[in-house]
Amino acid sequence: MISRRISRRTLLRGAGGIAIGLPFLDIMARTQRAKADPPAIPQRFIVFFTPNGNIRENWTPTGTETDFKLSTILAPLQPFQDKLIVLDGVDNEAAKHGVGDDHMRGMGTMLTGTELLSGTTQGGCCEPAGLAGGVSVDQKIAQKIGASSKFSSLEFGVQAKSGGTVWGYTAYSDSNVPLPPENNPANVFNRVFADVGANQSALAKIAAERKSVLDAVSASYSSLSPKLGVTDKQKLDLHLSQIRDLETRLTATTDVGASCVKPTLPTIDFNNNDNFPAVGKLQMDLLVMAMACDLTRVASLQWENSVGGTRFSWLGMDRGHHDMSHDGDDNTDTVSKLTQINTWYSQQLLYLMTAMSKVPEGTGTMLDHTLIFWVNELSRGNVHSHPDMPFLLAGGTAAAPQPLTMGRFLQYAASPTIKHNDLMVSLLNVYGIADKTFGNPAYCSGPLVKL
Amino acid sequence: MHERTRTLTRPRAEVRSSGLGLMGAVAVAAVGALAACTGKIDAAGASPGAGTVRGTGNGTGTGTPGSPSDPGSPNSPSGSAGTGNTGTPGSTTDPGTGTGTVTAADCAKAPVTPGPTFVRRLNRFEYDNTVRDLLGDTSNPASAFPTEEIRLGFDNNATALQVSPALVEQYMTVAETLATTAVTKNLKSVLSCDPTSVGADTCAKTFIDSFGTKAYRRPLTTDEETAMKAVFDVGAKTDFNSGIRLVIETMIQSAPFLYRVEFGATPTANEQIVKLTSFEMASRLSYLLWQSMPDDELLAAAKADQLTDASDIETQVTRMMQDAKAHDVFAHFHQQWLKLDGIANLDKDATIFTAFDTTLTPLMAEETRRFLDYVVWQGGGKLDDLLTSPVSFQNAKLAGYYGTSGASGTDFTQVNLDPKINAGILTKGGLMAMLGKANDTAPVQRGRFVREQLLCQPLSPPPANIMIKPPELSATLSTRERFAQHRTEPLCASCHDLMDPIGLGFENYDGAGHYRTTQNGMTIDASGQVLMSDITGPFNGAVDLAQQLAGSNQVRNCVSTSWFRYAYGRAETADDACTIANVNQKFADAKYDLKSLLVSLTQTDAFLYRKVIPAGGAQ
Repeated sequence: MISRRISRRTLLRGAGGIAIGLPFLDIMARTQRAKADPPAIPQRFIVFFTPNGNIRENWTPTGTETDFKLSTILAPLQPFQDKLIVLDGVDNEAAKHGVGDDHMRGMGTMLTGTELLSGTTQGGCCEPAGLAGGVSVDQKIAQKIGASSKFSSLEFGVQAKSGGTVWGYTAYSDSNVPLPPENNPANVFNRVFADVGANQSALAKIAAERKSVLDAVSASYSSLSPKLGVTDKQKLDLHLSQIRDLETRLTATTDVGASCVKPTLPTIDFNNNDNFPAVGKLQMDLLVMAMACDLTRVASLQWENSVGGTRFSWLGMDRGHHDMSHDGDDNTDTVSKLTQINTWYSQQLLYLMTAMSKVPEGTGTMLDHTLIFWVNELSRGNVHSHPDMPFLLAGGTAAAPQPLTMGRFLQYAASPTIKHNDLMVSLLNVYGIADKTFGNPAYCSGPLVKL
Repeated sequence: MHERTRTLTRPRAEVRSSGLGLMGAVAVAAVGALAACTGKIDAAGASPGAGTVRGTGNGTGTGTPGSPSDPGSPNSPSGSAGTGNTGTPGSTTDPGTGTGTVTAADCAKAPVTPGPTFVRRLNRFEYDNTVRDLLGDTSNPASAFPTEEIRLGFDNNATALQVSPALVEQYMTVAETLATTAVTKNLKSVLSCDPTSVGADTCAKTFIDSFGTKAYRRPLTTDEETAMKAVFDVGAKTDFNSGIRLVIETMIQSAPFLYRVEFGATPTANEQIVKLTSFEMASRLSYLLWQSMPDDELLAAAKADQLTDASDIETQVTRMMQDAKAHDVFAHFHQQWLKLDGIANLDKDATIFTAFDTTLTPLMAEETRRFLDYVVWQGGGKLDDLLTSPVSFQNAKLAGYYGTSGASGTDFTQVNLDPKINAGILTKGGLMAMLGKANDTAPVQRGRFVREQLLCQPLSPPPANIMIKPPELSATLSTRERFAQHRTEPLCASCHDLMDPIGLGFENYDGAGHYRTTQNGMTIDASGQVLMSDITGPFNGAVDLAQQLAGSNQVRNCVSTSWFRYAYGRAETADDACTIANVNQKFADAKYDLKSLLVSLTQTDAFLYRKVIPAGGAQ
């Protein structure tokens, strides 16, 4: 459905006919003129989340590490096979422990590698739980590579629901502090791009006003906080620190990338089930452009949410995704449909990779410097399992401190158990974070072998 | 069960050891989690306690500094179904009067113990209501804010309401939009003076004081006035309106606007418990009854310091209950307590439920909304009405789907349904469809709903690592037959006996909310059974069940506990024993009238008082 050959025009056009590609920015031209040396190539990291498990037999490639054939679900990615690392046999060990139901545990441990907090959200079974109990790997990476961009990370959602529970979040800046995905492309635009290319004197005036306002706002928190009890003080202090972060963000000057083009404001009924594909494209367009403009270097793109019930009506399906994911393996019709759903998600990843591959950067493209981590909270939906997770790395780490060799299919035997915390240690190492463990150390043995 | 208790209460061991017996006895049935579905009820939180355990001097009650710091969870989810004692399956002991219960009579002589008090951030609903009442802005900007974390079933839990970077940014951009709209379209309604006649500075100061008192829900301090004037001056370099705009922007991002902060009255020497100030009480009342800021009358009463006596407060409450905004609070509570948001996302298999389509879901949601509003405000107002009234609200399309009569056109009208097959909220099509699978009924979910939402008995976990696979559809078997495995496998039965026999009593309502009498050509057997509750025993069909639930003290206590959590934004604690006892007594005296329950929540220790914040913090 998506051609690999995608024109620049297409890239800049959101689905639904909303053109987001417009004139190059004055600010960009100015920035380019001002630069004597070419800037260092940014390193980037993206989490690509899809829910409710996968169909392993239709997902796993066949062949050897370097000579392998993609199977049905991943076949759309064949044009970029040399930029993939397909993993088979890595378990989400952390998800086998602690409170919460299988979806909750899978979701909350997926990028944190540690058990959920106790809480009051009752899942389909098991102990009630709260939110994730640790920082997520994308945020850990953002602390390293995101500091120099205006937004240390951006969280995109495509009809991501279940906000307020562990089912609804991928990214956590800390234990119990989720970063909610933004589902509305218009809000993303307003937050990320509204100031880009605006009249400089108008911007300066806004900045001065905001500074006066936020200084006074800060004072309202700092004067109150010392008078409060411990719990209340922590809450207002957190608010205060985030206002200060915001002030820093607002004054950040950004070196706008050469391919930066300001999008136009998207307008779409973003909650309508049938608009799911169109919203996804808009969000991907905005994501790519936010990175092309170097407004952020770390992002997550959360399709649906854990237990997501999207009806893939554009694929001719009536039932919701999660509902179908419960059917038995003997239901061949459902297995086929779940295969189609995950194949469709591969096509979306293809779209994202294609868009990035159209942005020149250094001697290659943005895709060479962007690692995409495709994750799922479950291995297989109907048994809610966490061994043999359908994890995939895509893109490249060409200029990273510890680059990965792409174009591989890595298989791991069932024993000894290979834990995905190790994979996350390796991801940290890629970006020059020398940690030897991540998440709960009980589920971590160091960098992922063979990777 | 024991495992869960340990998990949830580990950080608060001190609470469990201080007033637990009291707590367990008073809050029985309200916060009980079922023992590992083996029939043995956890007694950890239910030791009978010894009458009152309160101290005798004012302000020297059981609440010691260092008591619960996290209201996110009940301090003791043990308490337990049935009695607070060691119930057995089939126990029918009245949970409201079991041994060790602290009664309202005991509490009449007891010292005041208010439980913990926390600052509360406005949630999205409160934010939208507040800017509507403050600025006349009905754009509901908070709908774009991140969803609140749901704790204890509600979106207004004090500790859960933290901020994320995205939210703080949205507070800023929304404040800019709201302030710009206010000064360009609505200036006259927020500005009470004319800068050209009284002078810009004078008018600005007047504005800062008058608007500030509304925004902060109390008069500004001198420091705050000075800071706001400085902000005004920055904007006034452009023009007067810009100055006003920046003041509005600042105020509605500031702590006294976004948070409800309460210090209480200045304590006298050694005083540890104080009443709230009148201005603090004005906000407590308005956010409880309207989920919005105080109106002018409340602020005037606060200014006159007339909101410290319980009787004066009740007078205000009576007035406030006449306001339409009080309807919204009941609706918001019911929506969350009964998890009605799920109706909007119904997802049915069109090949199984051929008459169902998604255009029915908003109608079903509207039906339940109107029914609940009617029950509270017109249809008797009692819990009994909520659970048993055969009234509903339908339009022609919805009635056509259900096959009922009495409705025509697109407008909703009141219809009186057949009381033999319709009882209150439980048999409403929206709820039944929500508690249904896409292609089937869902006896487990239906049983669990009754168990958890109405009986307040969270169910304990099934064994780890079992493959959970619901029975496949069948063209010949009944649902009851297909779910029989849950009853014959001992491993499954210990828990499913608490859910399935309740859920199977709803088999007359298919998975899309439609009434039926047969399945696969067989007459439906809708007999059921409720174990481990104060209505333990058989029932026949949903209407019978609803009537039994309406007479259950366990359900009544569950409703009052849910309201406690919603109204106070926190879990109940040991210190709340008398608050709960008094509320339950008044609820009983009022024949379980729902409005009176809300009124009585304003007359408690927990609502009228707070502990003094120790110098230097440490709550």
